[in-house]
Amino acid sequence: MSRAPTPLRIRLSVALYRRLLRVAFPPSFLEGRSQEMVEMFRDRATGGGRPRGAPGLASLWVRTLADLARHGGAEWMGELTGPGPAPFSGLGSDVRQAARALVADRSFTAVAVATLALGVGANTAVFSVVDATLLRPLPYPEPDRLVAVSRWDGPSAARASFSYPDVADLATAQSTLEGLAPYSERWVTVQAGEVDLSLKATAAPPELFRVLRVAPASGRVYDEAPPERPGLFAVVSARVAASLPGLAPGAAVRIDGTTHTVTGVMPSGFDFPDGTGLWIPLERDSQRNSHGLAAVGRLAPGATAARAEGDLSRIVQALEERYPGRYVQNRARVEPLREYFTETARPILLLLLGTVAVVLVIACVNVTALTLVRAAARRDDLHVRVALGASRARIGRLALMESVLVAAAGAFVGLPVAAWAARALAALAPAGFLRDQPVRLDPRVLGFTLLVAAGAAVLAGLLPALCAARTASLAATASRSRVSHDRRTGLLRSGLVAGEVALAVMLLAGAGLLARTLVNLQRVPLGYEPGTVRAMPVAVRDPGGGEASNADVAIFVNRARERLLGVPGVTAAAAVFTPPTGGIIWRTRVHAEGAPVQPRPDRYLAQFNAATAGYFEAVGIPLVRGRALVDGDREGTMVGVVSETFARTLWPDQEALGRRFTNGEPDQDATWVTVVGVVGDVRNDGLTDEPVGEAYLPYGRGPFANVTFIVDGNWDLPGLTANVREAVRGAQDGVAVPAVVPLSQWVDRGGRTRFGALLVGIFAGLALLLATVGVYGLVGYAVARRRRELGLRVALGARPAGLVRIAVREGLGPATLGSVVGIALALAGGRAIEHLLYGIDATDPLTMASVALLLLCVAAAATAAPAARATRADPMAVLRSE
Amino acid sequence: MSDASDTVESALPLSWVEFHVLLALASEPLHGYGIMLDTEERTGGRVTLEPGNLYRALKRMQERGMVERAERLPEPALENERRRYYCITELGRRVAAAETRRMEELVEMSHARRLADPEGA
Repeated sequence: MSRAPTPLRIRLSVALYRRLLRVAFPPSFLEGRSQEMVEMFRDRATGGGRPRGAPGLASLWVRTLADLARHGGAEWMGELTGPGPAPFSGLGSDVRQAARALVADRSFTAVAVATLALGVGANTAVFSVVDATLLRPLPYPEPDRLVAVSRWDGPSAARASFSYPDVADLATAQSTLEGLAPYSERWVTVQAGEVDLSLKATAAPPELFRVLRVAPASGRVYDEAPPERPGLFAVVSARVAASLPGLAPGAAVRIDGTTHTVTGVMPSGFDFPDGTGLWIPLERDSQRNSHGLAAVGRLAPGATAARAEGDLSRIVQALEERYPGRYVQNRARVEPLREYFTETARPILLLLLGTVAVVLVIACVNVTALTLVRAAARRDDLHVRVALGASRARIGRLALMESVLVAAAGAFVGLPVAAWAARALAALAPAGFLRDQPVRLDPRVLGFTLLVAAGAAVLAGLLPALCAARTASLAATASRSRVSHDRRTGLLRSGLVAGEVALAVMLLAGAGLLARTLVNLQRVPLGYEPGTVRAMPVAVRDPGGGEASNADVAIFVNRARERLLGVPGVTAAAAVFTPPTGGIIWRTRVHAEGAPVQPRPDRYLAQFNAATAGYFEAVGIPLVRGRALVDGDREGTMVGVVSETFARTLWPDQEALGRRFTNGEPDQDATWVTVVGVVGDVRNDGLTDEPVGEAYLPYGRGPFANVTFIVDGNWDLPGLTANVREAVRGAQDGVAVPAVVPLSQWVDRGGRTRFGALLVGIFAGLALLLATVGVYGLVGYAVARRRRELGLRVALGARPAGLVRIAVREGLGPATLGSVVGIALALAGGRAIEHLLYGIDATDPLTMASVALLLLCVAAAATAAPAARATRADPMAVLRSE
Repeated sequence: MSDASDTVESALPLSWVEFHVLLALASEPLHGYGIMLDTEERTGGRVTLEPGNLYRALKRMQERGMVERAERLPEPALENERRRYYCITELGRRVAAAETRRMEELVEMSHARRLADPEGA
């Protein structure tokens, strides 16, 4: 009977179905059935002589695809888990068999588990620190709506702080934030009974707590401070309330010598912005040029940080029009609060994450190598199993299962190591770097560990599993191609050696660059000698509660200095407003007499400091020209001592001594300062930046209300510290002296970089160790396989040294390739650490060459040792043992 | 003959696909499409056996011996067609009978507990 021609759409569908079948079902299922299934599909498509139309065909395809996916998948599952009733019941026996094999081979298992424990543990440790610092959301309601608002100074391309009127203007005119609060931080001295505590305090209006949406656990927040006067209230943190007895709402507490009333205690864990012990009302300083405030805001519903930035920038530009010269090229900058807080930590932490990831890869390569070596030794066992009917898939599965167990054990062992390491990491970090968040192994970190362990299992186990499967199939076909198999294994081994060496070289190059940066940083001249000098920061207030007048401060300072000099054992005593290690900083624009008058924003920005006589000598700042400050400078002509950079900038080709400058407008009311001395620069803007010019005035001659006493003496003398503190305390009622701290403790010689360098160095060292072990193992095995040949050659008279040389040359081949690749990787990735380097290029040839050479030497040693051992062995014993 | 009854017992309970296949093949050998059509007709369109589903069941039942590839085609005229026919085996019939009895017992119990018709008294 004739049939109508099948429509094109049916023919295409059938062809497509045939192809899909081949993918959806395992070959073993399709044998003898695929044709039937295709026929059945065609029958349905052309059901009863009536071919389906497009809609009918489409609905058939929907059902067909579901059928292919569901049942094809199920057949594949059945195929992979081997013959047996249920898909997962085979898993249990696989695990048991793998575990038995691992326990039987204890030394391999121990080394493999230890290696992976190291790799997984290191990754977990670093990740938990990253989690605590970068990932964990801030502990406030809806934390992702909180933003940090700062002023962006166009000319210096950096963030700048606000003044109170700035923030007030912004808050009134803006429309994208539902709250904006300024704040500033400083260290204060808190007295409770006989105890003086040095605490971080944050001055902020009550609006701050509204923006953050956190209420006190007991009591309430204070009200807004009255204009131009400090509000004498405080809110304390839970931590401080716990450590100082009696601090409850209503209690009195002395802060910097002034009595405040506690209005509330915050819930535990709250310490905005970072480690704050108490909050006090912010003074509403109406001076528009008195900066120093940061600001935090909460985005209004629907607003974005970008829109807020645009809105606030417009307001800043409007301010420039109202007050020309104060906001030249200024904009606003609005950033998510967490990003703002973690800006310095983020690049270093990410670098560390990358470093440990590389260490893990090296660890996995090691375990792969170990597994391959072990598999080669168990080849006969494998052949027997194949002969008894084990399928290729099953052999591969067992190998993978062993690797999974090793990885799981490694993760298990690695977790306590990670917990310890994470805490050690957090302790090593410079203060405030990691935002003081407690580092713990929370679910996210554990999930990460699981992921890493799984990745390690796959990475370390896939290659051996595939090799095992291939070996099984070769054995099954009784192939005589052992030679080509060996060659392929040899290539594999060389590849692994090259890979490990490359990764180790890359890490070591990074570590080397960072180490040299640290050395460079150590060599940067501080400009002063911390020596045995100790510092005592003191805040002076008028006992009535207001600001002490300049004259009062000067009187206090000099009285205290006299008393200090009278303490037996003290060899030097002085006072300074801004110690060389930083603290309260006052920078303002100066104008040199006789120079052409420029608009204020274009004038030179210099740092103004106050010091007593004896300061430069006490701290070791060299006097270059002229004289230092003396007691008599408190009165008479206004004189000052300037730093070299200051002198060089204002008077480039002339002698600065005798010249005058002012920080106000150069009109007839200006106060001119005459330069009487030039001293050396102090690195006051960080170790790696050019120092800012500094001018030192006598106390009493400017708004210098903070004092740090600099004292040097015979600190071994018992009671000296107590006497020193008493000397200062006795100079004025109610002055609190919290601590006498060695100046050297405050010196930050690149703490951030040191932290990064230390850790990268540790991990690079780990990588080197692992790579050495790995290369040694891989090459050692290769040499061991040739023991017979080597033994023969020695027996036939070959010189052992010559054989060792040959072996080393062979081993160095892949190591050299690895070094070259490693250097290339290091050069390519140099940009990642560029921002951490100082005084050295990311492509420094000396470092690269040294590292490559080091690895080659290590590889040569790792090759020579087993080779030498093999040639030393008694040839007859070797021949007999084969 | 405990051996044989053990084999029958171990095949129970049948999956619904397997039972429909046995029902379809009870009267005559069929090929895959035929089994599907028969089942659709018998259940009034409620049950459609997709090829993947059907052939997996056929493979299982072949391995257990309840179904086998037909040695002879039902109609010599169909010899030219490239189709494979399946027919039920003796074991298959016994398994179908045992399954039917099992379900009958369950239905009886359901009636006794008045679960069969929750609406009625």
